[in-house]
Amino acid sequence: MNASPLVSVEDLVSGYEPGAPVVNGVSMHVGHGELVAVLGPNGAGKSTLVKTVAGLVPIGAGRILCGGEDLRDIPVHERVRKGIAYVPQTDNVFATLTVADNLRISAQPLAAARRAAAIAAVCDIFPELRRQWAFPAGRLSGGQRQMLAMARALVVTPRVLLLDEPSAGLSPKAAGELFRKLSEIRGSAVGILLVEQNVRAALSIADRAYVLVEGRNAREGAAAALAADPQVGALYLGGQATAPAGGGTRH
Amino acid sequence: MSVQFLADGLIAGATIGLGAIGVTLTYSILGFANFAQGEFISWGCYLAWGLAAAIAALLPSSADAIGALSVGWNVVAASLAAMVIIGVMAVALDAILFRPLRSRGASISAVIASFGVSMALRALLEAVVPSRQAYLSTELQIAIPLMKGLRVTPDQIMLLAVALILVCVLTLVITRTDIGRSMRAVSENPALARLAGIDVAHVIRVTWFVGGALACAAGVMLGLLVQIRPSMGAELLLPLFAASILGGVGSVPGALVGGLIIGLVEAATVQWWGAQWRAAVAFFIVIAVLLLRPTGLFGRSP
Repeated sequence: MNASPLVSVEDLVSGYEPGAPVVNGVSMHVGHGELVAVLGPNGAGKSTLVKTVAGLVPIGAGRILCGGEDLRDIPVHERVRKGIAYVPQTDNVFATLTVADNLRISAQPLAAARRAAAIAAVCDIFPELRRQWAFPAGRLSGGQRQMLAMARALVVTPRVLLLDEPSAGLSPKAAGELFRKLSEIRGSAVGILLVEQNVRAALSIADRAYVLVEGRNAREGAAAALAADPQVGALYLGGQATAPAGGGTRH
Repeated sequence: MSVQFLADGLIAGATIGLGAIGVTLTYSILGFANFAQGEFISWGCYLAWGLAAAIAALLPSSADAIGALSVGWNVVAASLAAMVIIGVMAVALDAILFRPLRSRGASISAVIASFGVSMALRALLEAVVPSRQAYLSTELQIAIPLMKGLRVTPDQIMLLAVALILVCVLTLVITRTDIGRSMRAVSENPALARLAGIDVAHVIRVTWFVGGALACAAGVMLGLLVQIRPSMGAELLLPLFAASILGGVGSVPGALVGGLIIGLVEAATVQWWGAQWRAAVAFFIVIAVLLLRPTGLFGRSP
C-alpha cells in the first residue's frame, strides 16, 4: 500500500437496507495522482462503494479514511470540503441553472477570493464550457454534461475525484474525449477513483484497478497486468471466477 | 368607467404576492404545500400591532405620523421586529414538526401537519388576542387623485413601494448570492446540492425564515388596509396559492406578478360583478393555469 493514501477503505460493509450489505468487506486505497479503476460485473457493488465513500450510503462496518480522518460521521457536504468529490452517473448537473451558476455553486466551499481563479482553471481544462457559459446546463449534450459535472467536482481542487460510470450513455466519440480528459487530470495531484463498465478503456488509462464480485475484492493490481489477465474477462462473462472467501485473491 | 380597481387591485395584489413568496419557496425547496403560511400573516400582523403599541407606550413620540403616512416609526420598528420573530417562529416550527416528518420521507404527512398547525395557530391566536376591534392605523387619510377616477392614499403608495423593494432585493439575493444559488440548487436537486458542498439543512432554515418574514410583512400591509382579525391570513390562503401557481412555483418575481394579477382580477370582479364573486376568482385562475400552463408564467418545465 502507498505510504500515505489520499483515501483508504478498510473492510467496508455498506448497503441500502440494514442487514442486506451490497459492499461486503471491501478494502482499497487511492494515492496521490493515481487513477484507480473499480471494475466488476453488474451488482458487484462498485457504485455503492463510491456512494459510500461520498457519504450517500451509510457505513455498516469498516472504515473510510481521508487524510487519516475517519469519515463515518461526516455528512456529505462536509466530505466535499474535506476533499471528496463525487460525480454521479446521472443527474449530475443542475439542469435549470446556467453553466456559470453550476460552477459558481460548486465553488462556494472555497474562499471568495479564490473562486474566480478556480473556475477559470477548470474552464482551461474544459474550454467548451466557456462557450456554453450562459446556457442552462439542461441544454448541453450528454458529453458536455459529463464535462460540466467533472468541472463542478474539480473546481474545489479535491483530493479524490469519485466518478461513477462517466461514459455511460455517451457516444464513442464523447466517451473517447472524456477518457482523454481523465488522462489529463491524472497529471495533477488529484486521485481518481473510476467506476466503469467499459473495462478496456478504464484499464487503458488507470494505474491500478480493483475487481469486485458480489461486494468483495476479487482481484487487484496494476492495470496493465489485469488487462492481460484472462480471468478478468471471465468475471465479466458472468463466469467461473467467484469471490473467494476471506476477501478475494489479491495480486 | 371607474379605474379605481387598478389601485385597489395592485395594493391587494402586492400583499398577496409577498405572502405567496413564502408559499412558492417552501413548495419548490421542501416539496410540500404549507397551509400554515396564512397563519404567519395573521400572527405577524398581531405581533406588529402589539409591539407597536408597546413601543408607543414607552416612546409616545414614536407614534407621530411619518410625513403624509398614517403610521409612525413605532409601526416601522415593530414590523421589522415582528418579521424577525415570525421568521424565527417558522424556523422553529420546521425544526419541531416538519423536519422530523421530512426525515421519514413523509411529504404528504407534512401537508396534513401544516393543516393541523394552521388550525392550532389560529385557535391560539383567537385565545390570546383581545376580542375588540384592532387596527394598525386609525388615521384618516385623504386619497390623492392620480388621474380621472383613480385615487390612492399615501399609505397605499408606500405599501406598493415596500412590496416592490422587498421583491427586488429578494430576487437579487436569489440570483446573485451564495445563499440564493444554494436555494436554487436545493430546489432542483437536493442530493446533488449536498454533493456540491451545500449545507441543505441551513438552506432550509433560511427558506423558512424568509417565508415567515415576508408573510409577516404581508400581514402588516394587510393590517394597514383593513381591520385586524385572527382569520385574515386564512382568508388569504387560496389567493396565496393561486398567485404562486400562476407565477410559476419557485419563481419569486412570479409570485409577486401572480399576486398582482390575482389582486387586479379580484378588484375588477368586485367592481363589475359584485363582491360575492371575489372568492371564486382565485379558484378559476388556479384551474385555468393548471389546465393551460401548469408551469405558470415564470415557472420552469420539470
